[in-house]
Amino acid sequence: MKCEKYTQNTSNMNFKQATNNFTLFKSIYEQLVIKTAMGRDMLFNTVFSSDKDWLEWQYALTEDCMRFLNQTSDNDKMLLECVLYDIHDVSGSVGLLENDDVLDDIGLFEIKAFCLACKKLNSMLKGLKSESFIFGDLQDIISLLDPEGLEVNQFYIYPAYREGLSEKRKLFEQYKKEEHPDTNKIYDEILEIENEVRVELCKKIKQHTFRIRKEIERVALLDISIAKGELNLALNLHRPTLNNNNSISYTKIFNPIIKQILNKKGKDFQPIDIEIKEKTILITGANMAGKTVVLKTLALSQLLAQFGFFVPCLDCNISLVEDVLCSIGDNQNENEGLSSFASEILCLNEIIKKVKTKKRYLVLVDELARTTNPVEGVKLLNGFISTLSFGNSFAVITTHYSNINADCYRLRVKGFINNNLQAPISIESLSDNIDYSLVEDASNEVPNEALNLCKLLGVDEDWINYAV
Amino acid sequence: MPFVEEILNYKSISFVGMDKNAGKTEALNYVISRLHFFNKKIAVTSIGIDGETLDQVTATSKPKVFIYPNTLFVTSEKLYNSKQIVSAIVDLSHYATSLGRLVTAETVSYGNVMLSGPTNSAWLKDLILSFKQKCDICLIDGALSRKSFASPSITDAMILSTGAVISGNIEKITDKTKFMYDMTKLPSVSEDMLQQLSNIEYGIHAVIDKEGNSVDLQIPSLLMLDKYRDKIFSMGKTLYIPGMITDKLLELIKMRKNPEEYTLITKDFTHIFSSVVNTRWFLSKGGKILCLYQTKLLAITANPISPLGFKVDNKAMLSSLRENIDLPIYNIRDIDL
Repeated sequence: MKCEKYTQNTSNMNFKQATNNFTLFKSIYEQLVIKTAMGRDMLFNTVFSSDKDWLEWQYALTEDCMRFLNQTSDNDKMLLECVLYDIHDVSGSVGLLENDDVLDDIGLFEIKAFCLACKKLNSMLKGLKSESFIFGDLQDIISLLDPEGLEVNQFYIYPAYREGLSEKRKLFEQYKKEEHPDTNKIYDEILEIENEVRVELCKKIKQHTFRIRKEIERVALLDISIAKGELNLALNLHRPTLNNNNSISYTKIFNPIIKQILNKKGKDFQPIDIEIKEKTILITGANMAGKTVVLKTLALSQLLAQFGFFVPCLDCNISLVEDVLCSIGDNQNENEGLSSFASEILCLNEIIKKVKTKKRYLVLVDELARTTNPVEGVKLLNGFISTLSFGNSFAVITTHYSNINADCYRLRVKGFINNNLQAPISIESLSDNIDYSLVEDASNEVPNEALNLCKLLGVDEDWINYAV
Repeated sequence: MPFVEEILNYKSISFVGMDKNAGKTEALNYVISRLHFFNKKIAVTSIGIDGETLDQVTATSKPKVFIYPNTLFVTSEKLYNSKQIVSAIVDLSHYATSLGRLVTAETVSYGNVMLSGPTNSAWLKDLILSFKQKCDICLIDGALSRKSFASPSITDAMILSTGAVISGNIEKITDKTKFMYDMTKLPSVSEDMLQQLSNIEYGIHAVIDKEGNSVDLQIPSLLMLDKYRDKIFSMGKTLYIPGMITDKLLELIKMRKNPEEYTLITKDFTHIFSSVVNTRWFLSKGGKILCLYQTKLLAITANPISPLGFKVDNKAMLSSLRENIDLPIYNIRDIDL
């Protein structure tokens, strides 16, 4: 999650940029099975959206597909998959037609195969309710490319297109056999007729290119929606509720990627509840208590929701934001002469600038000013929180600093369940002994568990003794 | 009609040449013309354009194959548009080769076509699989001296083309062809062993008992043998090498005593990359090379004319080959159609 890269793309971040900027988001994309080239194109160009109507429409399409997937037999699903995998992106050929170019047999075949595939899809998708998935009737285009009425995936300049073509071809074969001097002449004649037919066909099809384009879009939409539906079923994602009442709240939110890793080891991810209101949230807690994971998961969920995906939680109520602004991880950049501290501060400054525009953002900052001395770090953190209140944004900040006096809502990760753990303990079993849930914390003090944790991790005794 | 009946027993046949211009396309044309009489639906494709840089640009010496109506053939977009045959496109590939996507078409008239095919073995395997439903026999024309696609994991049987292209010396032709023949005739492993080893795809494994139980020697590749030479025979002298058998390995054995104690197991003959000299030496000293899968070599065609212009004695060449190799061996041009 590089902040510099991220702050450059303001409101118009598209899906592809998001996958480049957020590793976690990319991992989700990698599990999404997009089957067609047009689907991938459309997905990559999807923009981070705060248009409620568009998002609700996307959610509805996904739900339609999920219902359809649940009702459909595995065999039919496989057939549908085969048809989708087989579809070629014909937008190139359509573009040529629109430019008054003539397509070769391959291009015409592509268009015919595409139209036939749409027809097939229509009959396979009877279970879908959404109007967006009803394919238009392309029968007239199919008929143009199928004068013999066979309706099979096959194309050449059929003899039915022109009287005499069949005879000429037969003559050509005969001449070839006899090595007749006119062989080439008749071959040229055949080519000319074939070309005339192609020009004519292309002219006719050109009038319908807008309809083909519509169907291309529909295939893309269908492909994406089905892929989303499959993803939701695999990762157990749920439809978000969008609101206007100035809060983002999640019930049992989880990190789907970490959950998968844990599930493989026979463990489970502990979901948490969190509600973000206008007041900045400050999360404290011991090391290894999962504070950073909370931030990353919040970023992921917001991105998913606003790209039209479902989110990893049981239930949620989301306010739409302009953008997700993160400062998570080390952005040290020696090449530009920036230390960890300088790059973090500059990144935070960018965030402040944006927040001050009064537009609504989701700001997520991990351990603000951790790379400088604690005395000034506290001051910087206090100042940051106070400055945020000028804007209209949601913010979640984690810290290890005590004595934060700025006006904020304090949460603490519960931390160790069992205080009598015996050292050394493996990292794996350590996480079994942590309660990751967030509780309200009235005090101004942060838990001091670093030394204890070091002991549990079995670090050098002398080191600990001198430290104590 | 020699050896064509035998072909009918197989679903896919590869045509491999000992060298370029060994006459494999002629062999292919012969087989197609014979199969035509059996009323079989044929699909023809080739593998890749594999290193033939000149051909990719000029498309001159790409093989021209004569096919009959109702035959499936595979070529590339670029070559398809310059065809002189009436044919209907039935499929288009999603991946592209350097000559464009692959076009599968069904012929309406007869005539010559230029073939072009998948650029890698995995793709070819998929293509052959897709043809299984659509036709009776799939014929694959090889490129250059490439033989990897003759692997039994891809095609069921193979036809080898040899001839004066190898050398002007009949003994040498026989010798080299015999070596190739010997490699296809390497003994195969027992059923038990096959079951144990067939799932292993990578690394080098010591086979520790007759049932085929094996231990991974943790050597990433035989190409890095120098680094691991102490390890390679640490678990016994029977090795399973799914990758390839190299000269380096055989030279390492050469430096040790008792080569007859060593057994090398590989997937099939296309994985043997060691030189004729080293391999012969190893086998003659009693060393063993076993294959998981045997290759069915159906026939050998021999062409007495070299592309350099000289010609060897047809009868002498054929009789020399026939003396040494127990297979149908023909000069396609001599066969009485």
